[in-house]
Order: sequence, then C-alpha cells, then structure tokens
Amino acid sequence: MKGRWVKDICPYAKDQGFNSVIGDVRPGEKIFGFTVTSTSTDMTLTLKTVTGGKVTQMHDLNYRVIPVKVDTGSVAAVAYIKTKAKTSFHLCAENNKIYDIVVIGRVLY
Amino acid sequence: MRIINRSYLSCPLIEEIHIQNVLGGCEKRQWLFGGRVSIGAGVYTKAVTFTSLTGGLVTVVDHSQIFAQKLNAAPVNKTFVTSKTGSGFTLNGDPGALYSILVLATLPTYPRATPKWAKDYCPYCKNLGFDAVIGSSLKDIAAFSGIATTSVGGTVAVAFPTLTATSGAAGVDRGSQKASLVTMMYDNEYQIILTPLDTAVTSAPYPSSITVDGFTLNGDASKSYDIFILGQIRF
Repeated sequence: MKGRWVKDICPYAKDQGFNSVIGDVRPGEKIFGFTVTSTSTDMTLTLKTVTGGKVTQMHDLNYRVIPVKVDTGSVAAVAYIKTKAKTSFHLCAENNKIYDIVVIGRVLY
Repeated sequence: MRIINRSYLSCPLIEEIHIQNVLGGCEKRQWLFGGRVSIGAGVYTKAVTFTSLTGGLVTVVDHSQIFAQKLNAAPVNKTFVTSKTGSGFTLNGDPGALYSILVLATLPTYPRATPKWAKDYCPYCKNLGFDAVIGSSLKDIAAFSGIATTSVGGTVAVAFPTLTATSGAAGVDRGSQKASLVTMMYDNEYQIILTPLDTAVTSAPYPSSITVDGFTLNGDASKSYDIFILGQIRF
C-alpha cells in the first residue's frame, strides 16, 4: 500500500476538492443513486426515468442494487429486488414509502 | 455506443495508489463514504452526522442516498433511516447493535462554484466513458460487489476470491486474467450491505464472522443476495 492522496497526483481530483477517489476492481463500473417513493408493493423502476436520463441502460445484468427505507414507521417487510433487466428492475417493498436506492455496475449509456 | 472496458494503463492513479480501477459516477462532485455506527444500549435510534462518519472531511451535502446494514446478529427491529438532512440522518434499529453505513453523497457547489465533469477534464476518464469519478475521504478505499446464495440452512460463507472470481458463472466478463479480483481485505473494518433478490424474505439478512477473508451471510434458505463491499483491499 502506497498510501498517497489522490489529490496530490490527479489534477481533476484536486480541482474538485476530492482527497481521494473510490477504487474498483472491475473495469468500467459506475455507481449511481436516486430516491423514489414507492407507488405499489411491486414497482417497476425504469433507469432512464429514475435517474433523470443520466442512465438509460446497463451493459449487462451483472449489476447490484441496494434499497433502504428512508421514511418514518418501522419496516413491515424487508425490501428486495427482482426482475433485473438492462433498462429496469422491480423494487418490492412497502407502498407509499421513500427509498434510497443505489446501483453499481457497468453502464452502457 | 461507448466502449467501456478499455484499459486503465494510462491513468497515473492506478500506478500510484492501491487500486486496480476507478469507480465511475454519474454526477459531479459525488462522494462515497461509510463507517461503523453503534446504537446505544436501551435506545432504538442514533443521530449520525456526516462529520462524525468522515472525521470532519464531509460536513454538508447537497443530496445523498444512505444505506445501513446490521452486523453480527439478526435484526429484531428491521433497519431503516429517517430525518435525512444535508448534515446527517437518524439510524433506526436495535439497541446496542453495530451497523455498516454507506453514503453516496453529492457535495454542494459552494465553495467550488464550477464543478466539472471528469470527462471534460481528464483524458483517461473520457477514454473510459466516465462522466465523473467518485470521490473519497480516505486513502485506498475501493468498492466492489457480487452475488451469493445461501444453503438450505440459510447461511453461506462468503469468501472474497469466490465473490470476485474471474471464471465460472460468477466471473462472466470480469475483464481480468487473475483467478479473482479480490483475495482479501486489509482489515475487518469494511462495510457490507446485503439485498435480497427475486422473492420476499422472512428474515432480514445480516453478515457475521467478519474477517479479512470474508464473512458469513445469514438469511433465508436457498436465497440469493446482492452484496456490496466498501473498504480497503489488501490484494
């Protein structure tokens, strides 16, 4: 481990005020997040819609999703993800609650 | 269509710091950071500030996504987050329990009035099709993910070499000639977030027996989980 700060090496990181950057082990992966209010207990989330157009389609189905309830009231049912497709996935959770969601994987465009 | 699997060989960061690749992003000035948080005995909530999570390096954010995962024991009160503000949040869970916290945060424009896209600034990021890269408050931190399936007993020993294998069903298109992308972590203080897949679960998943080599995933029987790890990789 060399233990150097990225800001001392990368002019972009220094300009943006980043002390360091997050590394990865798999080429070409991105992370992005968004916040949604569920409209059913099985809600289709289309990437283009929920990211405001930042992400339209994943490169493959080998991406990961993390949902966490960020709303009042104890958790009645553990949220889970199903039917991952390149352009969408399903959030199965409580209805009419706010969830933070993050996706990590390779973005096609 | 972007070609997103090009080599990082030209990027000086890969040579100079202990990472194999850089994690791309989709927003300017976005950071990923985490930490371990304990809820006090006899109470069910804990107010957490970004200042405390980052040692003062991040104090205020414009917007964020926050994730929490109970460690070492089954959640009784299932974990959730309330009272999100620009400076922190309230973690809701079990008294005396330990949690992994993960925050994906976009910093406010001030005091830097002109945040830039990495692709407009850095030729290596442009070459990779990265609009942005994800900032960090600590040195040598990497994020990676995988998938694991529990046995009929409801547990599975998650080993990092298996989770990041470059061959077999789990290793499709990993872009490496190594047997695995992560062999072990630098220490036990990495963050773990678990997500059930495909069908509803009866019990909230949690990791236990956390070591530098892996951990035990506890959940429902014969169930698949998305796994997200943030921490320092040894090799």
